[in-house]
Amino acid sequence: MIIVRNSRRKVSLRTWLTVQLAFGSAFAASWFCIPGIRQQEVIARVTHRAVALDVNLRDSKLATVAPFYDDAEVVSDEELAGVLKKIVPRFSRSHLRPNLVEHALRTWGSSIEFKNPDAISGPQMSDFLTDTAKYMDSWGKNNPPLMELTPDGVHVRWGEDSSSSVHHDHTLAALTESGLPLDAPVFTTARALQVRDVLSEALRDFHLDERETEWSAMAFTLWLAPQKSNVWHNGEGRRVTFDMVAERLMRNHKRDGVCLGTHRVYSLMLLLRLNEQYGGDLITAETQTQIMDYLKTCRDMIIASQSPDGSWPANWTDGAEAEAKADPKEKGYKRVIATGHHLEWLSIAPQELHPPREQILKAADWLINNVNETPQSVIDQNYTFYSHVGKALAMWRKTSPAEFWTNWRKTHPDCEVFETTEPKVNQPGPEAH
Amino acid sequence: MSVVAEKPEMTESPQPLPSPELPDARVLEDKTPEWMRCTPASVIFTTLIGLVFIMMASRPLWHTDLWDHLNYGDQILKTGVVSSTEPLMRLCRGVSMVNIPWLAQVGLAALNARFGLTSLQFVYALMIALSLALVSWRTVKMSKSTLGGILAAGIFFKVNLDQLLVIRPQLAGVVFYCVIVAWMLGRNKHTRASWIGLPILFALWANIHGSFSMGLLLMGFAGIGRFGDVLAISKSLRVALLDREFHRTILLTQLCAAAVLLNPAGIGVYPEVMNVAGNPNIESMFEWDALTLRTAQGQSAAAAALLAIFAIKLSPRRMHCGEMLAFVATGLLAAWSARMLNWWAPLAGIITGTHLIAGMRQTTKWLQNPQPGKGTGLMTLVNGGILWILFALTPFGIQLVHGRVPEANRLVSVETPLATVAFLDSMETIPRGISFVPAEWAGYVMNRGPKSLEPMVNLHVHVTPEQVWNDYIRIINGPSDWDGLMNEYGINLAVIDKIRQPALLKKFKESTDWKANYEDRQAAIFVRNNPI
Repeated sequence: MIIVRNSRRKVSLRTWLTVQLAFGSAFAASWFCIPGIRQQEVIARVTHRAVALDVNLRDSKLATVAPFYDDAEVVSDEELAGVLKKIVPRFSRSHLRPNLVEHALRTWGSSIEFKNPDAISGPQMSDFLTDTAKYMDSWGKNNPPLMELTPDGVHVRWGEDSSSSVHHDHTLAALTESGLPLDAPVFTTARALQVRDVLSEALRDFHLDERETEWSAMAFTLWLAPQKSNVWHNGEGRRVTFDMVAERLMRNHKRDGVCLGTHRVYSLMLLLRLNEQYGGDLITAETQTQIMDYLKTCRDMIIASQSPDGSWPANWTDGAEAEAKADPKEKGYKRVIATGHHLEWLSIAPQELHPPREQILKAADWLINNVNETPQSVIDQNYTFYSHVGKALAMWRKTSPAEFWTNWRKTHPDCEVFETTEPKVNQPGPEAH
Repeated sequence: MSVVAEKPEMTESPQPLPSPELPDARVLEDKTPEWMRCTPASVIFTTLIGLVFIMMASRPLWHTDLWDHLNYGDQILKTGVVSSTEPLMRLCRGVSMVNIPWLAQVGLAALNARFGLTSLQFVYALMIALSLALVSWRTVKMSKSTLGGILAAGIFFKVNLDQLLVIRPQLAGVVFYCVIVAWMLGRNKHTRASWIGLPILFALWANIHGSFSMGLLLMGFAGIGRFGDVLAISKSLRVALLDREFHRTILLTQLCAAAVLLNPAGIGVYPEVMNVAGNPNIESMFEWDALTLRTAQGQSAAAAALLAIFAIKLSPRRMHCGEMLAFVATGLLAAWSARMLNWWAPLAGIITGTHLIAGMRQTTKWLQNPQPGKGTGLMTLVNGGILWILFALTPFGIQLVHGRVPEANRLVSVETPLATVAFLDSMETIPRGISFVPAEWAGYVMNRGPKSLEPMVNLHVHVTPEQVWNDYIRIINGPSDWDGLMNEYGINLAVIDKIRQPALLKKFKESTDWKANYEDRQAAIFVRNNPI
């Protein structure tokens, strides 16, 4: 039988209240003794939500990195105009791939207004990406939206599917590079938010070890550098600094990474420039040295690997052995990728990171000739790669494609007249970029 | 000089001399203080538990968790700070870390620094012995039978053996848990010692291991159980709600829960306990797998559960509500994850031991009318002597008494990569960047190997980024893209476990990008020809 023994003394109300007070006070004191980020973590773990962002984006200003050089020897006005004409975005409005629009947007900016109605102007491009209704007009109502509403913000759908963005944070990077402000509206299926919410979500869902961090790094640097924020906590409460981002970008084998490993070089160069531009507090001196060493190694590799025709091969990281180790089945467009992207980062790089000038001139010549000789249909199929060529060459004239084109159009009113007025079909290129 | 004594004259036949009367020892007064006197039964337990103690104290230290804990402990001793982010692994930098067992880590590291590995063996065995002693003591108290105590300790030890084989802070948690089990199953739950001792125990526990949550859960069961018992008897909700012991248990639990907050992470330890158990990386740790009959510990647990059910059925004793709740709830937890056997095994042992004896007592004559053993100073002396002998026989005792330290290979498990680390130490330079090292070896390599070597992961998987851990798990199986993953992490040096990673070993051997620098029966070391 169960023996229930009862203590003689009753627990007094005073004892009850004292213990309750001690209990409550202990928890309250403990709560206030831990740092804010720890409090956010506790809340996040209890509620199963992401840790709230600890960066104030209310007054964020967008940084810009101006190219260093205006070198007509690299590309003349006529040559640049010829190249840019071939990359005016004339896409079919039906099933318009976000990847194409993102590339066109980062190249041409969000303000460009083309006279030719076949071309998609900047505001239309940014609307397509940020307004779900516009996106649905192209993809139909049954397609999942590009901008997905989450409990904490807006997530950009990305992946292999052609109706989504191809890379993580590529949309954000494109919107950022196009100059769209943080308070620009983003319309989801449920409510209107802002680009700021896309950035917040990206900062929260950023993982240092994900495969592609190039675009996240670029967008974050451009938004956080002006306010000198060099650290934040992601949705899991992990402390992320730009030193860690830089280390992550440099960790892999140089040949790995999107666009033959060239995007991470651009992101690192951008980080270095913005660090210098905003007082040098973004990264430590040690990281600066590491980045410089990394970029110098890249410089040495492109010096050694350049082909006699001026192009850089896909295996540029093999340096002097590039020719010997080249893939005999290498597709031609890979050289466009390598050469275009290298010229792009070199346009914002100090001269000590440059290969000899002759090599730059040869590379630019090869690109210009390649664009001129390549049929428009092929360029259309490889639009993403060629858009980098246009942007790179414009940057070597210390301008942007939009600025140059707008000025060029004043003296060349027919420049937007094309041989064919048929909108192009959105055929995917040989590989996602 | 010799003395020749004259032969005595024998005039009369010799009479036997009366032998001097010996003093009767029984009349001596035992001056040992009452509280120090031990019963004869205690000698049996000291001997039996002592044998287990000797066995465990002489056992080589298991090579996995220990070294990671030592590394964190060393780091805390060096910096004087319990870091709020992961402080050792490059790929885990910035990851939030609530290092609950920091005090255990510091203790282990300090002991290791002062006395070496034998002291860790000693502490390890002591924890196990203390748990066994607590389980036996409570069972003897409840069943009034030495046999019951032996049975309980035996069941606890057998069921929990796999969990007890690894030296880690959890062992201290098991000791604390056994204290709470003993408290819960006792009658006088609210003595002055409980009001003072238990909050102190919980404050300590929260700095040693996350299992304090299991202790609080048990206290909660004690409260609910008391409420249920009173309700069942009185059939009155009012009576049950006004029960004084119920109130006291609630208050004591609250005090203990508040005492837990006395730790570097404060309130953060509570969600952290759930965070560790729910971490996706944990899924790949076999010891967290559900309990299955295919394993020895699953079979032991099943046998113990059947025996417990049989004992309860046979027993005239009725189970208290709290006892039942705790037994079932921890049993379900153990079924969910084998590692939870730690919290079921003590209960299973005590309940089975107590009820089996109670059942047998009905039919077995010699078990009936148990007389409490009388404590004597002599038994205390015997116990003391046994304890001294046991201590002196341990490697730690031998080291302290005779100054003889066993060779390293006798102190650590055969799986510890001693020769591999010796080779790494002999290398002139360690290739830059992250190194691939089996997670089980990472702690040892970091502790005893070159300081510039940075393993990809260690066994603190709950602070390892999910992507990194997933990639590590993929790599060890030698997938087709293993080389891509090596490139992804910029790995220039790889230590391969030849026994557990044969597919990966094959890939390395076939690759022209890597060169084998070292190989023995256990491991191979590969270095990239052209470092990234």
